[in-house]
Amino acid sequence: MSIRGRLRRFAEMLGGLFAVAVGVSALLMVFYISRSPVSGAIQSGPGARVEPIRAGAVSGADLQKRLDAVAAKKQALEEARLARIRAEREAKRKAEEAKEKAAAEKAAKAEAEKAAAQRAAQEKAAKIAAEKAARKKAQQAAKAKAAAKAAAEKARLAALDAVPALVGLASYEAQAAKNAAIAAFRAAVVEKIGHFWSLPDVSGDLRVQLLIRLDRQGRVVMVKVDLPSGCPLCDAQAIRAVREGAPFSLPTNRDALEKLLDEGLLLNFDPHS
Amino acid sequence: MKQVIQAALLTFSVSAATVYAQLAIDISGARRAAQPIAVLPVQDDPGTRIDSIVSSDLAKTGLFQPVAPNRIRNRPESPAQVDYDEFNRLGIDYLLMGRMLGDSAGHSAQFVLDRISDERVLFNQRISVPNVRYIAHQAADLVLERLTGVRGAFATRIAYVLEQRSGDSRRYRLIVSDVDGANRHEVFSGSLPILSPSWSPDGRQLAYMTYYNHHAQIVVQSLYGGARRVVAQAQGTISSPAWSPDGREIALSRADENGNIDIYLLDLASGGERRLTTHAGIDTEAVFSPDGRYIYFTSDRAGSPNIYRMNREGGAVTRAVFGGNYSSNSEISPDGRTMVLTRQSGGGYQIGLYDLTTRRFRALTDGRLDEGATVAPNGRLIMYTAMENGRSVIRMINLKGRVTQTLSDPSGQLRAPAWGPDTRR
Repeated sequence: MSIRGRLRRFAEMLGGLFAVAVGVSALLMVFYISRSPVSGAIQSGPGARVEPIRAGAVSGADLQKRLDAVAAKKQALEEARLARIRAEREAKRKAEEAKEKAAAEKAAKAEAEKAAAQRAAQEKAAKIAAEKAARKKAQQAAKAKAAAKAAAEKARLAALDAVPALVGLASYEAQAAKNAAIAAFRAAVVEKIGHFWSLPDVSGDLRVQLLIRLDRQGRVVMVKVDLPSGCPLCDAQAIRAVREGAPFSLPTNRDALEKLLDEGLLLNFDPHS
Repeated sequence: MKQVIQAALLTFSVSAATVYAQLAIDISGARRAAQPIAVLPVQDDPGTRIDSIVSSDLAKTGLFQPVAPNRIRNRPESPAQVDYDEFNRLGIDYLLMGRMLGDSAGHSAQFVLDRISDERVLFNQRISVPNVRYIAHQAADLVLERLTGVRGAFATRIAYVLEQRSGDSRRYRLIVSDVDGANRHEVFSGSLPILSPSWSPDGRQLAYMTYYNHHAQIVVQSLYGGARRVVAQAQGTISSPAWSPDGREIALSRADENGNIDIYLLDLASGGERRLTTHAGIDTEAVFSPDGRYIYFTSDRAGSPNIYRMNREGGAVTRAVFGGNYSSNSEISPDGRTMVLTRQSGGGYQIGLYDLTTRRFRALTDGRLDEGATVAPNGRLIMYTAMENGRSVIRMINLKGRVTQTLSDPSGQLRAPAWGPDTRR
C-alpha cells in the first residue's frame, strides 16, 4: 500500500470520526432542548418540575421602573419626533414667509420702479411741453418784436418819404404807417395817463372831456375842460393825470404829428366804463 | 397830358375833401382812491375842534381821506404862506384853512380851500351860523359842493325816536339832532309810542303819530316854540304821515269803519281829508315824489307787501317796484330816479336802492333786521335802523353801502330816523 493510499484512509477515518462526533452532538442537543422548560405554562403544568428562576428575580418596583423607563424613553422618542416635526414645520413656515416676503419685496420694488418710470415720463412730458411753450412764447415775442420793428421801420420810411405837397396822393402804405403811428401814440397816452388817474368812489355820470395841446417835445402846453363832468374834483383829477403823465412820446409819422400839434388832442375820461 | 392833370386834380380834390376827425382818445377805469385833504386847525377855535368835525364829516363821505394834522409842519394862516412843496411831498391834494372871525358870539368863521396841484384858491368864504358845530358842518358841506358839485348834508338835522325802558314802564322821546348826533334836543316825550316822524319841507315842523287817551293821533309840532296840533285822530288805525313837497298836505293811512286801511290826503289848512285808495288790502307808508306829482305807498293788495304808485289825486294804481316778494318803507331820492326801500331777502330785511328807470335793485346792507331808511337831502347818504348786539341803532351808509356812522344810546333803542330837509339857500 502506498503512502497516498494510507493518507486517504487516514483522511477517511478522520472524516468518519468527525461525522460521528457531529451526530452525537446533535442528539445531545435535541435531548437537552426537549428537557429544558420553555414556558410558564409548561413550567406550571401538572407534574412539572418548578425550578427558581434565578435570572428572573425582578421585583414589581423594578418592573414598574423598567416600564417607566421604557415609557419615558418612548415619550422622549415621541417628543423628539414631535419636536422634529415642529421644527420641520417651523422651518417650512419660515421658508414660506421668507419666500412671500421676498415676493412682496420684489413686487414693491417693481411697483416703485414702475411709478418712478411713470414720474420720469410725466416730468419728461412736462419738460417737453414747457420747452415747447417757451419756444412758442419766444417765437411769438420775436414775431411781435419783428412786427413792431417792421411797423416802426415802415412808419419811419413813410415819414421820410412823406412830402406835405403829396399828402393827398399818399399811398395806402403811407396811410397804414400813419395809422400805426397814431395807434402807438394812442396806446402810450392811455397807459401813461391811466397810471396817474385816480378818483374817489363817486356815483353818477362822471364823464369828462379834455382838450389838450402838446409841443414838439410832447409837453402839455394847454389843458381845457371841454365837457365837464359836473364834479369839479373829477375834472381836476383828469387834468392832474394828464399833467403827471406828460411828456408824451409823439407820433413818428410826420403827417400824424403835424395834425396832432395843429388840432390838439381830445381825451375822453369815463371812470365807470 | 390833359388827362394826367385831370386825374391829379381829381385825386387832390378827393383827398382834400377827406376831413379827418380830431384825434380823440378814450381813457377808462380810474383807480379808486379817496382824495387826501388837509384840514388845518382853525385859528381861534373856541375849543370845539372844528377841524376834527370837518375831517370827520369829509371822511364819512368816503370821498376824502383827511390827513392827520400832526403830519403837517407848515401851518399857513393864508394861501400866501402855504408851502406847496411840503403838501406835494405829503401827497395832499387839497388844503382847508379857517379862522374864527371877531364875532362876540363866535359863530362866524372864514374858510379857504386851496388846491395844491395848481396852487389855486377854490373858495374863500365866510360862514355865519347859529352854533359853532354848524360852522364845521357848513365848511365840510362847502368843500363837498365845491369839489363834487353836490352840497354836503352835514349841516342838516335828523329826527328819531328814543325808546327807554325802566321795569314795566316805557318812555318814548322824539329827538332832533345834528346828523352826527350832536346838539340833541327833545321835541316831545310820552309813555305811549311815537312813530313815523316826518319833516315839513321848510324844516320847521315835525309830523308824527302817537296816542292820547287810547286814540291814535297825527300830531304836527313846531320845532320853534314847541306848539303841538293834532291834525288827525282815530279810534282805529291812523299812521305814517308824509308831508307833500309844497307843505300844504299830509298823506296818511287810516282805517275805515270796516278796519280797511287806505291812503288819505289831509289838507292842513282846512283839515279836510280825501280818500285816495279804496282797495281791500292794506295801503300804508305813503311818500310823495320830489316833484309832488305822485304818491308811492306800500300795499299788500297782491298778496305780499310791495310798492305802488298813483297820482297825487288818487286814481289808477300801478306797481312801482318789481322783483322780490316783499318791499316796503320806500323813500324817493331827491333826483326822483331811485328809491330806497326795505326788501326781504334770505330770511332777513335789508336796505337797498331800486332804480325806477332800469327796475334794478341793489342791496346796500346785509343785516337781519334793517329797516326804515331815510335819504339825505343831497341823496348821497342814507340812514336806517339796524339791530346791533340786541339794541336798535341808527346807521349811516353811503351809496356803496359802506357804514360811515352809527348812532346809539346806551339808555334805549333808537328808531325811525327821518332826515330833515336842507333849507339853506
